[in-house]
Amino acid sequence: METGVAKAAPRPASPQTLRMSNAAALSLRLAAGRFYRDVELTGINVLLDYERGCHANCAYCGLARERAGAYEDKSFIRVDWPVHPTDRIIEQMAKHAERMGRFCISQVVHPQTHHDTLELIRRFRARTDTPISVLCAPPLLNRERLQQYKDAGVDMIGVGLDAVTERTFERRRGREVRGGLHWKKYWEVIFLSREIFGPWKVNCHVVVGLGDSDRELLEFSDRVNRNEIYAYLFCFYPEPDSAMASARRPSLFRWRRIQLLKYLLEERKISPRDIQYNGRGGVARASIAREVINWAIEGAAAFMTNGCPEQRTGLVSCTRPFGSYRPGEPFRDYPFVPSSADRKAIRRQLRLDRWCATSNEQYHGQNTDHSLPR
Amino acid sequence: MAKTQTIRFRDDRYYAPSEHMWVKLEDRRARIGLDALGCWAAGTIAHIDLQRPAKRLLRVGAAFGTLEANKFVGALRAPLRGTILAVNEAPLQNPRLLNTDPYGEGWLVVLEPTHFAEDLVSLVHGREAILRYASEKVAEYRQRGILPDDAKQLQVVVQ
Repeated sequence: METGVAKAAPRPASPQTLRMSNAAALSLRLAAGRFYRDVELTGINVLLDYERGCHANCAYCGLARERAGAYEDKSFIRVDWPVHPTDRIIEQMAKHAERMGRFCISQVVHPQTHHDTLELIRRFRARTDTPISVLCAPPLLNRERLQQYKDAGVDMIGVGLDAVTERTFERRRGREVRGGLHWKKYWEVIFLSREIFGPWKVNCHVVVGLGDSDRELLEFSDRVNRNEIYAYLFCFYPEPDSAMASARRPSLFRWRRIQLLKYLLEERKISPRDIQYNGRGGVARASIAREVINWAIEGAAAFMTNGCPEQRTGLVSCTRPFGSYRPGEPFRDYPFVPSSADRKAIRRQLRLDRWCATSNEQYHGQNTDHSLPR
Repeated sequence: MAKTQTIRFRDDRYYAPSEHMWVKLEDRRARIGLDALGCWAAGTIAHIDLQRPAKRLLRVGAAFGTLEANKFVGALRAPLRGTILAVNEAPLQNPRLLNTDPYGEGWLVVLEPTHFAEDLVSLVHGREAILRYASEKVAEYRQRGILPDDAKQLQVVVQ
């Protein structure tokens, strides 16, 4: 029926436009601003952009379906993600290719996502050879689609699992929040990705502070590592107006301790048997050689951002500076190699005397049982 | 086509280039704020802290507060020796005032200078000197990658 009233033209959306984090926009010289301590960010994250946004409803996410506000105004990981024309982003990626380490396409749960992701990969690949990751939305994916990403030039897949137990997943992303996401589907996509992309080409994002215990987080990391899948740690930071807006962040002490123990397990410097837990799954005590503790703190990789690497150097490209803390707060994950003063702060924050039985025994290499769990 | 970005300076102010501070003389007092280039180069300003008025004498370059942008934090430093008489509550409540109105609503503190004539010598004043200061800073920031690529369309206006 003709009403005589002209309809407003729909606003541009992906693949014509993409949302980009403030940090990525600074690094690509699309916005004015500077990084505290002259951080270099070489991993550029973009988020698919649709008028009606993401169909999921995760309790902690700024893009949640039921969070108030228009999608284009919603913050994500507490910062604005302004919309930019895709052509402009690709042009800047090509222009600054020598500084760039990785391009990451973050999907949202939307019917157009798969088609637009492929379109973006092709357009991007036509202009630069910077490695491409896809942070995928499992509800939309299957073997064929994942294979299409690989064939189009994607070398790494991220899965934002975020919760490491089905209990927490359902509570924060599934039935209990009308999220429509399914734990089993996420695992199906993790294992399909591992099969298609190969060892150490798949990562699971894990958020500390959603309700999983230390034990669950560390055992999860150990389990996926045994399958040659990375676990990338993120620190929960409440998003204003989200369902978890008033939830507390993990303490710096808890966060540092998980960073350290995860790293030592990954590097096979300790065995899961070296960690004792209390009744609630919190770390109660760990036995670690003093030499190993010093090695981890002085090397400091344990405390740096977990993320997809650059191809040239192998260093983390997706350093997400100030993504889970304000620049005026203590660093949670360091987007650079921590300085001597930073390492002193890390040692203080770990409060080793409270929980870590350090011994002077000399470390003689791997002491880990490598057998896979039955 | 890239749009032209205009950075404005007021010609009735004195400027401390290394701190990006402006000073406006008001009788025997000095109103202090952050200049537009400093605000723009910091990024979107998210949080401001200011020292409360106190008898303590500030030295030139001493911190009297902090500025936090989305990805940056830095000290706000005194361009003159003196003591703080008043603090502007407006940018404490709405830090983006520094980005939108740095010379008006976004002022920071009022100082009672102790060595005014002496300290004034090292500040930049007058249209030509302000333009020179701005162009040197823009060149420096461009080299350091702090400005967007389309800042080639940057226009500095002193009025």
